[in-house]
Amino acid sequence: MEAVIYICLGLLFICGVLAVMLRSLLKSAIALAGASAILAIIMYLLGSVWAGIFELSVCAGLVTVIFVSAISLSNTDKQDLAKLYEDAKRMSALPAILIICGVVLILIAAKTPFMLPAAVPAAETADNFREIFWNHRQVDIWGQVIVVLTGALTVVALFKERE
Amino acid sequence: MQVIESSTVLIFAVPLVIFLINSLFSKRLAEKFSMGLAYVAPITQIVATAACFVQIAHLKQHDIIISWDLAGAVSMRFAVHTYSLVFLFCIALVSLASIMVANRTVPQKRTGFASLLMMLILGMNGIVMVTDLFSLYVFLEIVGISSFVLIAMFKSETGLEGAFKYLVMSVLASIMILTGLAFIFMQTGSLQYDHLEASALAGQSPTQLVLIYAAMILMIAGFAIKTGAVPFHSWLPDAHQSANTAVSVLLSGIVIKVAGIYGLIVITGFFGKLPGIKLTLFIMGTISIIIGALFALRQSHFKRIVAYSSVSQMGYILLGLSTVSMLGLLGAVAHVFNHATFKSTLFTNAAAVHEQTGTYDINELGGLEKKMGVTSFSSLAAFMSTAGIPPFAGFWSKLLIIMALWSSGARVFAAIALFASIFTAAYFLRLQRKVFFGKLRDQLAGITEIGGSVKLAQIMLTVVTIAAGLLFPFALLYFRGIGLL
Amino acid sequence: MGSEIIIACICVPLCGSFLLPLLGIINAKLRNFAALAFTVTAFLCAAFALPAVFDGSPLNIHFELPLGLSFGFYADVLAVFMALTSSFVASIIVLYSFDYIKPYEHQNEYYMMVCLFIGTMMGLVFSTNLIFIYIFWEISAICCWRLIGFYREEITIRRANKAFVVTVLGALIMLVGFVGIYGNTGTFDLAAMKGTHIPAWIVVLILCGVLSKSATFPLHNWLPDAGVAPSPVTSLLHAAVLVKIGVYIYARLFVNSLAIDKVFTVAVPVIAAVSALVSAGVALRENDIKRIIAYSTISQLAFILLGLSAGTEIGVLGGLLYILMHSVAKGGLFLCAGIVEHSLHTKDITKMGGLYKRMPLTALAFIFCAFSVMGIPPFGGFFAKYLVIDGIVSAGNTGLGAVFIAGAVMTILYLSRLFIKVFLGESPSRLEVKEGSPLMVASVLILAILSVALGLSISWPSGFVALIGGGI
Repeated sequence: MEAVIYICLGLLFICGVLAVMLRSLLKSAIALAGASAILAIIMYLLGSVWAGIFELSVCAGLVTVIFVSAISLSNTDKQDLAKLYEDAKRMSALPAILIICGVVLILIAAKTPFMLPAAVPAAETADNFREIFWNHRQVDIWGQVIVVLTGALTVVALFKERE
Repeated sequence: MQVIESSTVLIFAVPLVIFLINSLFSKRLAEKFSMGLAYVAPITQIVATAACFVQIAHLKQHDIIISWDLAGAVSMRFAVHTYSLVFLFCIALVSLASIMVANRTVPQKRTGFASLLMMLILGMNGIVMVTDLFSLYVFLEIVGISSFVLIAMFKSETGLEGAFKYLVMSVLASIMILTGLAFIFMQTGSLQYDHLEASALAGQSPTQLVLIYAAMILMIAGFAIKTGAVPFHSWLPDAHQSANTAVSVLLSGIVIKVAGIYGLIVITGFFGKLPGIKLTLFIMGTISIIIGALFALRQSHFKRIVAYSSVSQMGYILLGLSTVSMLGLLGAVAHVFNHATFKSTLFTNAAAVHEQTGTYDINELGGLEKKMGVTSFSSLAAFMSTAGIPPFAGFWSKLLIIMALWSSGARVFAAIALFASIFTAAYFLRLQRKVFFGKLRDQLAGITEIGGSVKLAQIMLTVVTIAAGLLFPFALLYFRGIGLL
Repeated sequence: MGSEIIIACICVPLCGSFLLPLLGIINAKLRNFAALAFTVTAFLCAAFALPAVFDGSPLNIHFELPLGLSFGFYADVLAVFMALTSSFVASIIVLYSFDYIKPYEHQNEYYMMVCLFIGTMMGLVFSTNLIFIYIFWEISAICCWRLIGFYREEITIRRANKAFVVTVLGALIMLVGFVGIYGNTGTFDLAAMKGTHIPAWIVVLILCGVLSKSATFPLHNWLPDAGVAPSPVTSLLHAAVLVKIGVYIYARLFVNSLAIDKVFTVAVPVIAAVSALVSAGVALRENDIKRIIAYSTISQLAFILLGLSAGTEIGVLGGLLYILMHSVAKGGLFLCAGIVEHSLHTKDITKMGGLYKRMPLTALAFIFCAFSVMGIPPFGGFFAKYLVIDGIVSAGNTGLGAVFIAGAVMTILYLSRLFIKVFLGESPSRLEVKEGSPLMVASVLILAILSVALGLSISWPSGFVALIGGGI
């Protein structure tokens, strides 16, 4: 079990670095979606089933949709952008960066006494979940709604250049 | 109690409703009316907060918990402290000033501006009223997103550099705050204010509190970035320079305080007694005051001078918070209010000067007092208030902070804070000499005073500054009446 | 008269000053008359407080506030004395301004700031709370800043900024001292802390404010530089009233209310001695008429400080008396200088001479005021200076007494030099040098006659001042 989590962490790390260093915006967005999906898997493995479900649906799903639509709304010629940021030296450094950072992280993990939390039994029923989220944390739910609305506004305000 | 409950409903509902209205109507109709409609939100909020102040005086309480239970569909808990009310009032006042300035300086994308402003107001209102640290984080994100977009959306001549710097620093701060929250959650098991207050930390030794200290470092750093305190201040002047002046009014006037200072108020409220917290805030505050003022002395861009002045004034508020006492908190909150008014005034003046002369460079200006009397007088009132010169309001809040510092034993810091006021006076004297108080340059001979909503905003803010200064003793009596002093 | 008379004394000029710009837009003469009326009202209100004060029951108003900020107004002999002196000289200067300021711009602001300043001075002398004293102190700094920069030239603005920075810095240091007193006694209210002993470091802090406002060495440099202001401004602020704020606070705090260490009865006179000698020395070498008189002011203020800090009742008497005599005489000197400068459009005394032929009345007023400052009997200044030196000698400090006599001699020297160079001797070829306008000449003559009248009837002012001495 632990080995699976460590492999997922490694994949997560790779996806994250790719998302930052890839030239094409679209490919970056997809790498980010991949990272979110792997994170959802890790959350499920660690016992937070509902967190994993939310992560998958919102981050890997909704957010990627928003990203892709934002990219398509912006007018710049994506081929030119790719050429502008083309940097062979940067991309050739990618494996080196991955290896070095990976080694450092593994060393840190080996030295410090990390413990995976005990697996929490997935005993929450659907009712219990609803009660937690609606009665106790309703403020956050409304807050998230407003966040998404703001995000939509952001896209329109920043990228919509056609009238 | 009724009054306060309905006020909180209004405070949340109105901006949301306006946003929805803006989105529903056709583009052309929205473009014409969105700005005018936007006025409704801050004005309602000012009236609602004023009513709450009166109600609190009647109830003689200063901490009220509101539970919403609207037809079983919506149920949330909010807390209304006296200082939250002051913040709510400031949010409304600064937003009002910003809309008045934007009326003139934002020719296109008005609907976008108005809608984003509504979201920003919603986010800020949420921050000061929630009862749970995680909810605070959620609304902090709203504020972060909307303020970033407001800065970036006008794509000014200086490019998006300032906006980008702000985005990076803001996201960094959010991550740090979230990690800090996670550490606190691991230690105490709950993030709700009443659970944290019951002090799950009592009786634990420093080694057991490692997680809490790590959380404190992260959260103080995160909120300090949001506040623009030294050494995390580098984004502030650039963001101001990139942003449209209406947005600068918002940014310095209220966002850095609600997003940054309020978070620190909450943190010091729960964890302020831990050794080391006070000293950190003392040092950060003092350095901010001095460095902000010294850098402001060297700038020649009107808005950058005012931005560094913000950094300096945040230092005073941090010093007030660092005493972890009621007097210090009162002084800090009073300074938040005063800073909201005088900083908004200064940015409104910058907008007026830029609109009429076309430049922000103070070396190209001179003697504008002759032609722009209202702008000149309001800048004078703002400058005196910033420097802490009586009878303007800034003096009283600085005095309270100094008294609090002295009473808590930090005498050296108190003295340094007072002496550093002379730097504030120095850079503002320079600004006045170069821009207003002197002989009119020949090329500026045709300038006229700015009119319309910007002039009104300046007059309104100046009246508030002067009234707050003259009537401050009454405010002290009010605080005594509700049991805070 | 009830205690409301104090409120009227303060509020009429303070609040009335804001009406002046409005009146000025309607009619300039109306505004001028109103300004004079407000100032004279302040004087009359202070005068009406005299009977109660002489009876021994000072007028008192009190407002309760939390945090030790309770403030009030208290009209005892010292306060009424200062109020009368300041408002009288201020009224004369306002009268003089009518003709002096007429050709210039920004007159509305001028009258508003002058009237505001007078109201602030009234508020300051009657205040019983340290914080409110500080508030009025700073408002006077704002007025001073705007008034020095009246001509809006680059150099005047820079000098105004310098004066502002120096006095505000001193005031901020003083505020730390006030907060220190709060830390020690728990209040800012002077009545509540009467008689307490305060530690030396607090006294040093407060002295910084006193020295900066009253232009004592080493914080004196702003005063001669402020000569770029119009002459009535220099007279009002930098001779007659504003510079007296520092020494008044010294009297109010350290002579009247609080107890301080004995070392200050030597330390402060030494500082005063240095200030007196240095400024007298510079005055002998300057060639700018207003700068000479300004250095003279620094020197005379040192005299007043000496008297108040000597630690003897006679010294205090002399110091306070000299406040009155100096305000009248030095105010008059600057106004005369203003008449000269107004006619000749220069301040350089090497370009002047023989003016007594063309301006006989101004010359007469000048010599009368100068004699008072020099300390020549029967002018008022003589008696005051005599009492001051008597005070320092009877405290045992004969050395300092000798230094101050030397200072007095130098005063005679440089003022005589000034008079000779300006009014006597050959007059250089000049086109149109005429006497000042009737109002301006009348103002300086009133002050000149008062200088000699106060001296001839010395028993009345000194009897008045002696009532204050009971506070030690």
